Amino acid sequence: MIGLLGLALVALAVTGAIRLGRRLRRDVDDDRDHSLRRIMHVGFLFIALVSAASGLTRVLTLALSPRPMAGASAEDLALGLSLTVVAGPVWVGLWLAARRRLTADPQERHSAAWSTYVVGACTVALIVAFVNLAQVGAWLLAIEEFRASALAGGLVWGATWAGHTWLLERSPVAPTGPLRVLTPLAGSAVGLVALTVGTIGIASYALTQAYRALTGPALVEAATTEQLRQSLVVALLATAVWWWHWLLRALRASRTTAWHVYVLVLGVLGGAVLAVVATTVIGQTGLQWLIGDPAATRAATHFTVAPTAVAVLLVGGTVWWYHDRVLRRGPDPLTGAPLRVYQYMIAGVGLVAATSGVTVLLVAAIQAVGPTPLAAGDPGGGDAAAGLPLTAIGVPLWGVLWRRAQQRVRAGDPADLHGAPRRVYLFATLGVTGLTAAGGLVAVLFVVLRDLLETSLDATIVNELRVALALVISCGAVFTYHWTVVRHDRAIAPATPRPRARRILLVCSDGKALADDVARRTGATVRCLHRLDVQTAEFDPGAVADAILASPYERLVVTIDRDGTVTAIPYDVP
Amino acid sequence: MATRVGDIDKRRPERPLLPWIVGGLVVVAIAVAALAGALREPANAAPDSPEGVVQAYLRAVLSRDHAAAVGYLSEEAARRCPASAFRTSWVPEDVTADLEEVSVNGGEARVRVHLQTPVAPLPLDSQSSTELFLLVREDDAWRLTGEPWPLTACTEPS
Repeated sequence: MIGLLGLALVALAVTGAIRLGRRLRRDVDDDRDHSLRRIMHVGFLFIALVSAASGLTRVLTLALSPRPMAGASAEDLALGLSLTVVAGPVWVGLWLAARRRLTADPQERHSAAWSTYVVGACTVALIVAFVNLAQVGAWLLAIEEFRASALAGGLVWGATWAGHTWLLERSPVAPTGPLRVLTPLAGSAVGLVALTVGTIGIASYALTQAYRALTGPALVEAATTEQLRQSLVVALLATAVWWWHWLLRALRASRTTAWHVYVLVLGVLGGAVLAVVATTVIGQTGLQWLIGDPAATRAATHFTVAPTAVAVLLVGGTVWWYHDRVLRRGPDPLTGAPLRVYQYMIAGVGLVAATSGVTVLLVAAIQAVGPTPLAAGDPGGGDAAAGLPLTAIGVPLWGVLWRRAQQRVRAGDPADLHGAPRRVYLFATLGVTGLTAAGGLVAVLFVVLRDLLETSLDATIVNELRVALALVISCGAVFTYHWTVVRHDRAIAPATPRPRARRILLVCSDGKALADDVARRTGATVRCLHRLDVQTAEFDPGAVADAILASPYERLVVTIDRDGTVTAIPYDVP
Repeated sequence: MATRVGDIDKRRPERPLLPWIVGGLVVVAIAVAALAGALREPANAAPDSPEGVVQAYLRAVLSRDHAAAVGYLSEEAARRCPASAFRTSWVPEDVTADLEEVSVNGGEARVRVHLQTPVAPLPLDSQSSTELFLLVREDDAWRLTGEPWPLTACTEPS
């Protein structure tokens, strides 16, 4: 538990540091000293918060514990009091200093550092409070024994979350930077994952019970009501978290890149993967019974996994369907880059399933035609049972979406041809399948050469190399096909318009608002440098955007003179 | 009256009812299945049958009642496999046992049972094995002989 928490904290800190770093690199107009001071300040504030909350949790644990104080408890109390007494006042002092600056200078509230602190504190507090409150719920439903640490952790971190949520939404020093939108998305992610897990548990229990009612009870059954109660606790807590963060906040928020990443990756991709895996398991179980090596001699026993697989399919499918609807409805229907990301992502899921299925089928085929039977008990039927459903699901899924993408490219859609979604899809596919095929080839050559040198080469080598051979054939075929697609894309590229400018260095007297406006209008990454020798009068941001869009170059330095003349100078990095 | 450009359309967006009705029915069906399952009677094999003895033995093992588990062993097996042998054997937390096959041949019986235990946190993953329980007739009752699951290496007491 502590290990998981530590990992979560480290992951969050690293992610936050990376985001902060990127943000700060972009904001070159910010005073570097101020940026460093802000990072140090919020860093210490966060460390003090975590230390004080941990200390308070330990103290409260002992206050709530029904057992008398023993040696270990005394150590806990001493550590808890030390942390609280030192880190608590430090946090208060740093908080008061931060509030003074935030009140005095609105730019401080807009800083990435302040947003990152509030987002990080809200998210960490939510995760820790959720885990602890789930244990309290398990105690209330008589699943686990009472643990004072869980109740104390739930109270302290719950209060921390509530306080920082108020800070984010109601406080006069609430952050105004763009990163603040990550809080409802991070909360939505926690809620969605937990809700999916809890709902699968409930549906799996119900369907298993219905299955048992139809096929007869097992000789001895696991304590299944415990699974139901545990799932209920998780689902109830998760519903509250998801409702608060997603339904009340993130759902109606503006559809930024982060918003689309959440919906596409967690909602669409997560749901699709669950649905595909569950369907594969159902198909595999059925085929194992028909043509493979069944796990049991009675059908009722062999198919016991089916209710759980159906539950995963139902929940995963619902998650996918719901987020698909969210993307397609609302003020911004699914078009442009998000639609392309969606389609290439699902095509990727289909391609992974299809390639895996074909590989497994090839293994089965090589086994079947191999010179000698394999080890007893697995003549190859089991592999075919796994490969057929994977192929049957993956091929149509990939085929339909890939055909649409190819039609768009043939129709001369430059946004698709040059867009990041297609390039990421193509190069990720080439990278993964190329490396896998190369690895398989190395294995084949190694075994063949070894047996040749040892003069022990015979037909049984086919069995030994069946997996490597199957990987070389399947991944090699996928690699070859996608390589021809890349070559074709390159061949038709000159016939399409050149890409728009991507990187702009804007030099003007007051550029922050202008840079944001130009970035929005052009879709380019705009860095801004303040020019000190010229005070430019007000001018039309549209004129700046037009000058950028009219240029055929990807990298531009854009200057604005005293009279408002816009000059776009192309450059390259030596 | 025609809608003018710029008017705010205050009508609620159309919401197709069918998916919500289907979703609601699925939720109700799951709730009914859960309720029916909770009220379902557990399997109770006849206690004097071979499968009844295996059932009682497995329940004792899974509830960590080692003394009771030893009580279902034959005299010879109980001598070699005392309660301490159970304490050193690994038993998963959650096990579901399905009866596969029962065959009785005079004073001997064979009961094949499929054991399955889920592997957290993946709901679709589980470990399973098929175990054969051998029973002999002793004192007019069926008793387990050999080294029944989860025992693996009982030794003769010195």
